[in-house]
Amino acid sequence: MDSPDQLDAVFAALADPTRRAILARLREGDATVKELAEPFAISAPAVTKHLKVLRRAGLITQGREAQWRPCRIEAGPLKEAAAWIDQYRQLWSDRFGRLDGLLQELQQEKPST
Amino acid sequence: MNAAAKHEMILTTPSDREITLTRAFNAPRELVFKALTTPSLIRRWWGAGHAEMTACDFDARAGGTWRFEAKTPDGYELAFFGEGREADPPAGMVYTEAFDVPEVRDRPSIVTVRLREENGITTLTTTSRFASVEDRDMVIATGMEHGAAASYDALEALLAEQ
Repeated sequence: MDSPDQLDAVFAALADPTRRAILARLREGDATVKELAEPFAISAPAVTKHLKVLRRAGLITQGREAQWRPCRIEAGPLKEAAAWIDQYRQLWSDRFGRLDGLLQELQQEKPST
Repeated sequence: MNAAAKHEMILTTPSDREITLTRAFNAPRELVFKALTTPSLIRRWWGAGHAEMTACDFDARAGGTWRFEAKTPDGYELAFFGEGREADPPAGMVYTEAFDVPEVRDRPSIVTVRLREENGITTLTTTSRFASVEDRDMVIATGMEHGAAASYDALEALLAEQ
């Protein structure tokens, strides 16, 4: 298991939709800060802040070239926490889907007033 | 009945020890509360195709206890259990929850369920709070060991959602 501090950082990093989108983009291949900023309605400095969070969590590494600083995804720490969260998400999403169906059935049996 | 609006579940991690799920249902909250707390009804949604429930007792009232047992299609048996803390039908409830395996059965999380109804739509919010970061990590590690393979497929699915 990863160290608790790193797992905390992974949880915090994954909690943000922009950071998840950045990770999704990096699954397709390395990208520069500029390339990462393009699809989002946010500035390069804002992307840089997100990258810092991702870097601290060990989810990405960044090259040294000053201008470009290409980013690369690191699958290791993501795999454990994210896979667990995803299993949890999938399970509860399926449960709530069934619950939704059940609630519809119950209301058809006894229409609510 | 409302136009059959599709409601999506939202998962957030409000802090390093909490996971929150939010989902809306086209039903009055009395009915949602009943479906969440009545064993004969719990049996109809909790397994969700992942497992078949083999035992189900539920009492979230202070002093009450609950226990769910289930069997997966490949024969793996699992159980969750806990104690009631507070039931406030139909507004919500609080109970403890633990996965019944030696590593974590004494490390329950506290689950807080809230139901809000507006215009016939009930929004369910459940927050699971681990007692400590160490507990959270144990639960994750154990969940990964006992759960389905922690595959790259799951990661791909998470990222593909974006």
